[in-house]
This record gives sequence, structure tokens and C-alpha cells, in this order.
Amino acid sequence: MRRTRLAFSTLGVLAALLLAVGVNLLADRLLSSARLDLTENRLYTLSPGTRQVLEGLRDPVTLRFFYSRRLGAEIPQYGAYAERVRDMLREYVAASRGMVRLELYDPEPFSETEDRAIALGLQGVPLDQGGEQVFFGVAGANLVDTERAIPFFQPERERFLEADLTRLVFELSNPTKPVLGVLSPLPLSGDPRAMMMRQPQLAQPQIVIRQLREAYTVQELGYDAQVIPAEVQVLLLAHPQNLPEAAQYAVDQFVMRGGRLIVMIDPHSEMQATRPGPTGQPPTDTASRLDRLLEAWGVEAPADQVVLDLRGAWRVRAGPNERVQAVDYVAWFNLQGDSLNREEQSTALLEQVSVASAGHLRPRQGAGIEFIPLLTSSAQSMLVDAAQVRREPSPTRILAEFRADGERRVIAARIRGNLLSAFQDGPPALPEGATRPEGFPTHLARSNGPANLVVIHDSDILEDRFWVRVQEFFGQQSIAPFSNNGPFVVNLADSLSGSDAMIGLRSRGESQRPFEVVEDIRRRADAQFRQTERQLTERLQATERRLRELRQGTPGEGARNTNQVVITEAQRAEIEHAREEIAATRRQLRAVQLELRRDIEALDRNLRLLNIVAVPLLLTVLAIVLGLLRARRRAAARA
Amino acid sequence: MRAMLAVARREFAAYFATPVATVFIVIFLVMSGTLTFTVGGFFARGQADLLPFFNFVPWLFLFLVPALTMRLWAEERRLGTVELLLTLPITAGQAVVGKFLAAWAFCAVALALTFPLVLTVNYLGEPDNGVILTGYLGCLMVAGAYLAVGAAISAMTRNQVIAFVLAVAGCFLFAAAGSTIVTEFLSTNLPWLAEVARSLSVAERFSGFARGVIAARDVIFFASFIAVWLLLNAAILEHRKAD
Repeated sequence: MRRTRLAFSTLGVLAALLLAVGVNLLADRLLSSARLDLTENRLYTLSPGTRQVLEGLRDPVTLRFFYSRRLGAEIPQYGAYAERVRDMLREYVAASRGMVRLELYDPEPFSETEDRAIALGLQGVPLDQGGEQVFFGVAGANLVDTERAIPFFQPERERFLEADLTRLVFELSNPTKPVLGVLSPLPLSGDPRAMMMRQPQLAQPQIVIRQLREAYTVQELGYDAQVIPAEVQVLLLAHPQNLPEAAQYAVDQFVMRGGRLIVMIDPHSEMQATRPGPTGQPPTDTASRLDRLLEAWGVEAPADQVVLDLRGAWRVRAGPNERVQAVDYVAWFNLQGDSLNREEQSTALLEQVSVASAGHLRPRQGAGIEFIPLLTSSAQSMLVDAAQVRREPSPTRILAEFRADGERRVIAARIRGNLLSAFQDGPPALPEGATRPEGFPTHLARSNGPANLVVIHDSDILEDRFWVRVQEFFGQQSIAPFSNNGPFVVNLADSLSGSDAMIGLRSRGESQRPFEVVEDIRRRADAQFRQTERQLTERLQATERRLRELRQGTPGEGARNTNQVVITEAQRAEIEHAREEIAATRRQLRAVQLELRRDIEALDRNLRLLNIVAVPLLLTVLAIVLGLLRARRRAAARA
Repeated sequence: MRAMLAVARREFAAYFATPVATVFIVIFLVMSGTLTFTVGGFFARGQADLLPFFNFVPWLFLFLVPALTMRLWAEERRLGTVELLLTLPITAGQAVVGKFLAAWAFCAVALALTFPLVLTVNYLGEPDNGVILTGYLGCLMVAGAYLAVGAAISAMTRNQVIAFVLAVAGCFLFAAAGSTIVTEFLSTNLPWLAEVARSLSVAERFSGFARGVIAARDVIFFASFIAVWLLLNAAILEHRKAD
């Protein structure tokens, strides 16, 4: 009887164990992505954009994740981040339904894996003097061996981790270089008249164009284009001055068909102004507008006003009629800090973008579009008639008349939405003798799904002199950027050329959450310390100076005293006094420095007490009181 | 169900009938606070999260939970009250689950009393309270897993000390299974076991909760883990009843 019971219960437990193992195996297989992400910024949930890219994969992509565990062991911050990256990669694998394969490597120093990591374009970082390198990056490859890599994951880019990874996967699934069309009257790819003008450097393409060529096949389009070629994914329309109606229609239809557009109009093109026109004379008209299209799309861009901004204004030499002096020229300025939209991928990591006589933009009332400012002037800005900066601008006069009105102006914006064509009646009539090209696309009266474009009311962003110093150095060109205009334009093209999913990728919140209270105390204490330090240092210097004078003998007491060896009693007392004062000042300085940390230490101590002692102490007291009460009750019951 | 809850209520009240419970909680609070602030460098890290705390809780439970479970059945068996309990109109299973729930609720009380830490991080910065919530849930899961192991072991012996030592050892196995030392050793010697060890690791399963994610497979793991051990506990009791 007993045996059978034992056998039964053993069998029962074994069966339950097997069942549990089975359920867990199934859960691992089938429910690997079933999860509740309770983090504030949904850090562990892939955005719909990424899912769209992953689900659209047609060929397998292999991701090789290289991470040296030593890096995490030495710098825990990287360890935590590596964990996060690995988790996210696993999410990619799960969401791709087997199209993304993940391989994990821990490259030992001087091993074959290390060689492989380097060959795949990963960056080794030395941890110490011993020459040992650590790796933390990912290399991806597709079936045709196109390779892309993120050479080293920087925790500062955590907000863009998902965007970076998705871009990598996206590029591997679409390996051909996208085509970027350029339509502009400006000599962006070098001025053919450079030799004639005896300025050979003008024959060079602008640096922005050179940077764009690294990632894109740049295709120049004729100003009389009737159709934007179908292979063009992004169109850069810069300074469309007097753009023929046929070309305007081509641009309009390009956008309606889902083409991505970067349009740069300008109330005053500095680039055009400094180059002679076709007649050899400086051009009189330097403005460009695209009112018909922009208005139809819901954007207003007044071409007769220029934004002035005191914050970040360039210091220029004023002249030539005035006395030469450095003056803040408020029409040329750098956009920094909160002038750059930190939520947008294209501008979030830039330090500054420089603009020159830029105009402003605003959404038209009632236009059902998403209007996302990218560049915004500071509140120390105002608008001025464009004519004032067009013809012989006087920086001193403009500055003298400058009155900031506290309003901020949008200089560049991203626009998204379902747009209406500016040509509701179909294509414009052709000039006489002209014919329509073959395969002229059918007219679209509204955009095919949400359109994506960026409008910038300044074309001088493209010109080298406004963001980079180019120098010839022994035949080599050295380029030293002082603003991020180039990266800004390339970022825009990048974010536009990705699939719609790429653009929809929202930026993620950082997981760094500092103790703000402590930071505040530290900042306050630091400011206070600097202040006191300055006062005390001044006093110290004054005392030391007096002491020196006393030692050398103060002049003015007659020639007899200049080389005096014997000092009077009064002077000796004064020297003693000065010495004491120096010692006291130094002591005070140290005390202030100590005090800097005292508040923080006090906070630390109080919090320790609260967390380690307070509740246990209360509990103990409560237990004792309850115990005493119980004992008394028992005693009473006994009595 | 009602019988089970009655057992749970009675057991839970019994914890507070003696100062043992208070001593237990006080030790837990002082230890967790001290470790968080000193070894975990909570203040020096300057990050508004409870990671230093959550890193220590599973290891603290490794000793405190067996201390809680060691008398669960061993004591009843030594005093002979287990027979009395099982002659009542309840099944062994109901008694097992009831006692388990009481101990679990007790752990929840101990965890809840660490609330000053939550207040502290919210005062110092802007923590992600969702992550803190899942972290606590994870701690509760780990406590449940250890409790189930400890209770089953307690049912095997009349000696509380043996129950304690065996429970610590048993829990340690599941806590350390996923640690790098173990997996690295296994991956070079017994590669197939390394994966099994990692998937059985309580600490590894807990790490998801500590990051703010409640994964279905982790919840299923804890639930099945607890269920299997409680079943074993009931089987042992049934078997011993026949003694």
C-alpha cells in the first residue's frame, strides 16, 4: 500500500516536472516577444517604424555583435549599455520572423575573432597601455555581401540606438546608393566660369555636395526639367529663382508621387550676391520664392523679410565707408542650443548651424499639415525689410536699429501631411514648339499618402564660407568646419531617403536619470565657491603685494629708505599682520571648499539614516510597545 | 479555497505573535539599506533608480527566506502538530498553499517596508517608477521561488537547522545557475547544460523585471517553478502522513 502511494506521488511529481519543462520550452519558443514594457519611454518596445522595416525584409540579414566582456567589467556603464544593445538585437531577431540572424562574439585580444572584427570595420578601443583592445559594435551583412557596421556604440547615442540599428538593417536590405537630384541655378557643383573669373577655387563643388556624394548618387537636373526622373528619391531644390512653370509642375508632381523634397528658398542669397551675374555685373535680384507650391501645401514664407538674431550673431568688420570696427551683424547668425530641435533626428546632435540673411516660415492657418520646426531663431530676434540687407547693408546701422521683440521665428521646418497639388487644373500649357517628354506621368491632384518635405528659408546654408574653412596645405585641402551645416543637410537627406518607417522612428528617452537635487546643490555651491574664491584671492593678492612692498621698502619715504636693511618696529608688526592675514585667507578658502561638499555629505548622511535606521527603529519600538501591552493584558487576565 | 485562505490567515497572524517576525524584517531592512548605500554606492552613483537595491535583494533573500521557511513544516513535525493539521478537514495541498501564501505575504510586507527608498529616489531625481514597480514585482517572484524550495525542504526533515542549510544550498543553486562563472565553466565542459542552467537561473529571470520588463516567459517560469516545488511539498507531506 505504502509503496504504491510513494510510486504514485513520485510519478505525479515527475509528470508535473515534465509538464513544467514543456510549458517553459514552449513559452521560450512562442512567447519570446510577449512582454509588458513598463519603462517610461517604452525602451524595450520596438517602434512601429522598425517593425515595418523588419517585416518588409525579403532577404536574410546577418548581424554580428562584437562585445568584449572586459569592457563592461572595467566600465560598468558600458556593460549595462551592451546588455541593452543585445536585448534590442534579440528583439530585432524576434520581430523579423527569422530574416535577421544574430551572432554574438567576445573578441579575445590578439585572436582571430579580433582580426575579423577589425576586417568588418569595427573599431577597437585600447583599454590600457598594454595594447589590448576592446570591441563594442555590430557588423551586418546581406546575401550579396554588402556590409555595413556601427563601429562602436556610444552610450551618448542611446536615444538613437533603435534608429541606428534600423538604418543599418534598412541599408542592407536596400544596398544600392539612393539617387539625390539637385535642381538649382547656383553653381553648387563648381562654377564653370571660375577660370574666366581667375578664381580657380570656385571650380570646386561646395563641401556639402561633396559630402552628399559619399552617400548618394548626386544627379544634376536641368532648370527646364518637365519631369523629375523616377529614380530620384530626394530632390534638393536650392534657390528656385524664377523657376519655369513647367519645372514647378515637375517638382509639384514629384512631391505628389511621394518624392522627398528639400527646398531652400531665400530672401537674399549671399552666394548669388557675391558672384557676378551673366552680364558680369553683380546681380540685382537675389531673392527666390516658390509661393505657388508652398502656399498650396500650407506654408507661408514671406520673401520680403529677413530674420535678425542677436544671439549667435557673427562679428564682422564693418566698413568700408565707416571706421573699421568689429560689429555684431545680426543678419548672419549661428543657431545653437534650443534653436535646434532636439527631438528630431536630423538636428538633435548638431552643435550649431549658421545662416545668412534667412527668412522665416509659418504654417498657413487651417492647413492640415504637421509643421515641425527644425531651426528656430532665439527670442532676441526681429524681422526687417529684406531690402535693408540686399543693397549695401550696414551692420552698424542694422544693429543700432535692432529691437528684439521676444518672438521666435522658424527658419527651417519639416512638413508632413496629405497635400494638394498646386496645379489643380492639370499640367500647365507648354510654350510653343516644346513637346512633352516620353512617359510623362499622369497628373495627381493630391499626394499619394502623406508627403514628406523640408522647407528652409535660407540657401546660404550650402555655401562653404558660412560653415567651413577650406585651406590649401601643400596641395592637400584641409577642411575645418566651425558649424554643422554640412551634417545638417546630409542628415535631412538621410532622414528623408529612408523609408517612411525610418522617418517615423521616434527618438527614445535616455536612461540616464541624474540626482537633480544633488546636482542643484553642487551647482549652487560651486557658484558660491567661485564667488568667494574670487574675493578671497583678490584679498590675498593685495596682502601679498603689500608684504612685498614692505620688504622692499616703500618708495616715497625718501632715498635713505630705498635700500633699507633695518625695518622699523611698526613695519615689522605690519608684516606680521599681513602674514597672518594671508594664512587666514588661505584657511578660509579651504573652509569654503570643504563647505562645498558639506551640504551634499549631509544629504547623503540623512538619507542613509532614513533608509537604514528609521523604519527598523520604528518597527522595534512598535514591537516593544505591543509586547508590553500583550504582557500586561496577560497579567491582567491571570489576576 | 476558503480552507486554504483560513490556513494562510492563521499562519500570517502567527508570524506576528512573536518578535521573530520583527527581528526578521528589521534585519532585512538594515541589511538591504546598508548594502544599497555602501556596497551598491547608491548615493555616489548619482542615478535616480533602485538598481543597487534590486541587485542585492535576491542574494539577501537567499539567506532570509530559508530562515523563514525552516520552521514551516519541520517545527510542526517535531511538535507533532502536523498530524493535527492534516486531520482537519483540509487536504495536504490546501495546507501547503496556505502556508506558502502566508509566507509570501510576509515577504511582501518586508519589501513594502523599504518604501523610504522609493521616496528617496523620487526626491533626488525623476526615476522611472514603472521600472521600480516591476523591480519590486521581480523581488516578490524571487521570494516566491525561494519560499517554494524552502518549504519543500522543510517538509523533509524534523530539524530546523538542517532545513535551513539545505534550503540555502538549494536556493543558491538556482540563484547562481546563470552567473558567468557557472555558465562559462559549463560552456567549455558541458555545453548543453550551460543553456539549461541559464534558463533555470532565478537571477537571470529577475534581471528582466529589474529593467522594467515583465516578459510572459519569465512569469511562466516563476509560476511553474513555484507550482512544481509546492507539488513536491504536498507529495512529501502525503508520503510522511503514511509514516
